[in-house]
Amino acid sequence: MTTQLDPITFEVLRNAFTAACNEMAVTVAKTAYSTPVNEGNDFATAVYSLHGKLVSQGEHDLPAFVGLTMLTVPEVMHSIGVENMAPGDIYMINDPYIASTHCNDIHFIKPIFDGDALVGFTSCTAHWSDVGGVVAGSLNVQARSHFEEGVRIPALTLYKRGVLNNDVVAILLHNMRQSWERLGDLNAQVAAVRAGASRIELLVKRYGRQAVLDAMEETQNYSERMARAAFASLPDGDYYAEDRIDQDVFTGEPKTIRLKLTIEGDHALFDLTESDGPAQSGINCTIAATTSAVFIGLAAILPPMPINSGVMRAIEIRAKRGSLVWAQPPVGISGLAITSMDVTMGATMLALGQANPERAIGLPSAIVNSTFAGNDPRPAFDAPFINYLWAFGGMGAARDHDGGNNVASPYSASATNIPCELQERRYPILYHRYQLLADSGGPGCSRGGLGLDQTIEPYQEGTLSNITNRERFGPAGIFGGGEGWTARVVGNPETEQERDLGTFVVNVPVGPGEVLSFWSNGGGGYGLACERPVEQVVEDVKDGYITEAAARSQYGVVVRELDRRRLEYAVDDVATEDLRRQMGAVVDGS
Amino acid sequence: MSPTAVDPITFEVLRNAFSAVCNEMALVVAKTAYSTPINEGRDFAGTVYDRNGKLVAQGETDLPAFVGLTMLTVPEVIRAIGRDTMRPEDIYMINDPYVASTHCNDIHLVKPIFHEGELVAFTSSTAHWSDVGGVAPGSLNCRARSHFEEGVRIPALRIYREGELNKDVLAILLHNMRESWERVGDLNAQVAAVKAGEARLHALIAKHGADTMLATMEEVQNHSERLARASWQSLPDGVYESSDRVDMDIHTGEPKVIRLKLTIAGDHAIFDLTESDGPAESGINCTIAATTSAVFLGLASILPPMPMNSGIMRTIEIKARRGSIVWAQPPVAVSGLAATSMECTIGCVVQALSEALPERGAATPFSVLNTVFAGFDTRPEFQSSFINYVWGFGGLGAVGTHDGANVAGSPYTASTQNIPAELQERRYPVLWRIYECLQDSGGPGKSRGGTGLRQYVEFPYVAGTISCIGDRERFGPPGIFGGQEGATAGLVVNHGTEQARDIGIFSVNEPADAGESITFWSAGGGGYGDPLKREPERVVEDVRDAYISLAAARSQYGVVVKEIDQRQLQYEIDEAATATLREEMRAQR
Repeated sequence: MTTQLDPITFEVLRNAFTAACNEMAVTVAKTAYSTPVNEGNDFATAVYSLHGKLVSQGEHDLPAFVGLTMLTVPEVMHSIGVENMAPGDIYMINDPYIASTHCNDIHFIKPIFDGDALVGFTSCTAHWSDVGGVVAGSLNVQARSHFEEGVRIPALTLYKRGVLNNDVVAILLHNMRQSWERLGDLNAQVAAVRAGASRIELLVKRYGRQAVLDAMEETQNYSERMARAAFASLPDGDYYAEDRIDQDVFTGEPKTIRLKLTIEGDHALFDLTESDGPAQSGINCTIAATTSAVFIGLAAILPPMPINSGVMRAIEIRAKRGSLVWAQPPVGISGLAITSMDVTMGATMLALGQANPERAIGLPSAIVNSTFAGNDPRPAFDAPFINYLWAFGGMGAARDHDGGNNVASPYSASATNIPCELQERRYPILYHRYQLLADSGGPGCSRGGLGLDQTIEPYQEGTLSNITNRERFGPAGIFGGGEGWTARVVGNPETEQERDLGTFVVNVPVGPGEVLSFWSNGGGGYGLACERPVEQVVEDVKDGYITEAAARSQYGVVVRELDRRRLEYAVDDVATEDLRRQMGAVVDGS
Repeated sequence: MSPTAVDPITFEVLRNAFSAVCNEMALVVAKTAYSTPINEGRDFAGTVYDRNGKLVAQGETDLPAFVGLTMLTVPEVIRAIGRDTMRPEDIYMINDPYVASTHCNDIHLVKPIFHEGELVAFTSSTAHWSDVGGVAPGSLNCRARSHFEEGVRIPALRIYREGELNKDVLAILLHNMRESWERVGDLNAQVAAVKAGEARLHALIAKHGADTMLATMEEVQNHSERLARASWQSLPDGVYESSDRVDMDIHTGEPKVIRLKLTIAGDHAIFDLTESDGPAESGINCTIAATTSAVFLGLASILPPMPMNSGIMRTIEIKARRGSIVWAQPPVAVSGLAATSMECTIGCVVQALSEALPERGAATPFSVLNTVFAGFDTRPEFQSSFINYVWGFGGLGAVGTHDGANVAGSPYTASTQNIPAELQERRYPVLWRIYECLQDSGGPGKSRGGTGLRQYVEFPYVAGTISCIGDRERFGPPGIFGGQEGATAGLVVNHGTEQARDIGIFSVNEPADAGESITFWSAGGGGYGDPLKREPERVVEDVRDAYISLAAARSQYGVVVKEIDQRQLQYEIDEAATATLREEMRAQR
């Protein structure tokens, strides 16, 4: 394609595509009914070229959806047939094995036309609170097949020339919980893709179709050039990393993802073929989610660039069909986000970190994804509820700064904490604590971010389902940094009735009188802890991020409390130097 | 349309023609469906309705269980789709248990029939698809806590709109059901059936005129109504109470009881189920459609024969509490209803009506054992997943004039057939070792209950999972008028070995290794009348047939039999000892 675009128009259009995505995002956030969508920001919007290539995504969107949406539109084009597409059409899909993550993530795609000519597509993906299956919330880590996980939707035409296929909607609503919420989600996404499409249509009207098409291509070329430049700047070579899921709950054995990254000139090969075979439980990764995980991993480590299909041209992903990272029907996949997808991202970050130490970071926490579900009989409610209880955690440390405390993992970076007050307003729970977990960050020259202690008490009976990882193995540190703390979900912590509820469980009965704690991981540390500047260690003690005991045992810093209320602490320099020497550090001046 | 007088000859011709239409639909489904339970097990029905959705006729070889519920199906389709929006080439589909069906496996296709632009009738085909998704392959998940664990729930929708297939709906169905290639075959078979029915109805209109056909559809119902009213009239007015119970709600271990108060007053009857238990936590709740069916089946078992259609409905009233075990509300689970709550509701109706009409009364039959073995067949010539339905038929209840049938379908599945062991072995990785009448399982009585069935099936080739939903593992089918309970049912893996595992008949996805086996036996039917009054010659005949043992002849019937030559079937009654023993046994009561 010949590109006649001047640089100004190109930038205007490139940013206009992003703005269209942002507008779609606002539409969804303001109008969807699912709390994880409207409060948690668990959604994404995108603009595609007429070839189904990703051109742009929203700036506040869930990164997890980026890579997979590269497969979504091509699948819709293949399945529906471009020749059958018409103005007014809207397509829908969530089929994990071909084009998505788990069934909760529902994609709506709208073709954009200029007259009869296809110009591109807009899409909106959002996590519906429930899509059926055994577990309220549909995150069923104990599923042995997708038949236990909710409704699987192949690419279909929801609106044909503007006419809704009512029968499709009816069948979906009959097989998902809280169907009134689902209808709200559906309408929100329909409104979003229409809003986005109308923006692109305006651009076509203003700049002409060819300019828009050219800008779509050039946006990808631009990202491709940036990606190639980024890889070219890294040393050629093979880098190997692995990460593991705590367990396949039906065998109790860990599942490992193995990545061989080959950087050669201006492109990179991510070879996952040595990864484990399929899991028996719902922790398998789809190829779309694996693609996403690689993208997120590289986005976390490489210098910033607009993520779109152009980046894809600079890399190759290899995997074995049917393995843990390329699920084939009917294996269970609903728990992938926090397990196999998260560790694929982890392996990518670790391998790229080796190639690019100055931008490397320790591994982040796995989100504790819990759902508390039941029936709320209070007069004002009198309805079933599904309460998502996310616990974010610590980010991995980078060379020049500590990991963020209690933040979403890179794959869900846009997701926002759902405020306690809002949770209490909508669901029968009371928050006891929402606080950082001291000492949970992986020790390092840069410290991993802190995990979260989220403690609630339900005042109705219900069932709790948890899916998270890193209960057994904490997030790894790098370059000598230590692991972040492991995650736990505990009933009645620090009492005689304390019980470990586990992080790979579904439908555990819980009720009033039992306090429930969700403790997420700290992030992995970066570099040797005994090399962390003493004043930063003291600062952490002052902030309550670490205890005096940890300052001593982990960092070799002997701190004495003078006046805790005034945050006055004194460092015993001699004892510290001595201790750090024993720990094998090279102390300043020695 | 104005009432048209139909002469008696034309009436009979058309009345039987409606049944013939249904029979032809049945044949189409039986010959073309892909699910083994349909094409071999005959778990289906074909029906004709009038333009208001009233049942006019059903096939003579159809599953009785579908009769009552199909009375609710077409009215629901009319309500949900809207009569005014119906078009000649439409075909509707529904399986929603809570409004119009049994469990999700039973899929209904309904076709509107038009004549000169006017809606004149409906044809419908119902069939049990082998799988509709959910946790358990085969979708019979008695441990389900909600329908979300049981498979796809399909509201009334247009699978064909003016002749055009709603491909997107079909795609969703196929993506959420196992062995989707089989499901397409089932769907196409049912589409062919309702179209075949339509063609026949059009032929009848061409020959007899639409007015005559419509009038006859009405008159067919009037005819059955008159027969039913005459039946009620012949029975003594009064209140008859009965109860029956499902062994257990697996999540509580407690039985669930269905209680019926039947009031016969003149020419009509009230079936009051309001005192029945509340909902079960597991998948054994009955839908209102299935409860209606159960009442129909019960009365069809006891009352003199009459064509089953909506006319009968006019003579009865069914009362139940919404949300109770006999009127499930979403999302309570229902997939195991057929063998449990529905069967017990039939049991209640049979018991209560038997009291009103002892000479046609019957003891309670066994409950069907729906066993499913599923997995992946790795043998080179298969290389595919499989879902193997293994039904266990059992003993029918005894009646006054004769013993209960051995190893028969229960009243609600009367049309279903045993799937031959050889065919099962051909299609699935199983090997039959035993398929026999279970000795001493029939409930003792003057008329003996039918014997249960024992099956011993090996899984010699591949591992898989076993799911079963039955009933009467704890409480046998009750006898009547002094007759005794039939023997209870059971299911054991590796029976009689050191590796035996009693997984029971309320099991879901129990793993079985290659080389393991299951032994499962269904209940015997209840007995009718005092077993000590059974003629000793009939007892000896049962010994010869091995339906009962020598020991049981003595302990259950008080008949002392001496074996002369077992191979030549020579036995002798010790009449003196028999008289004495029977006297003693009577004295001990």
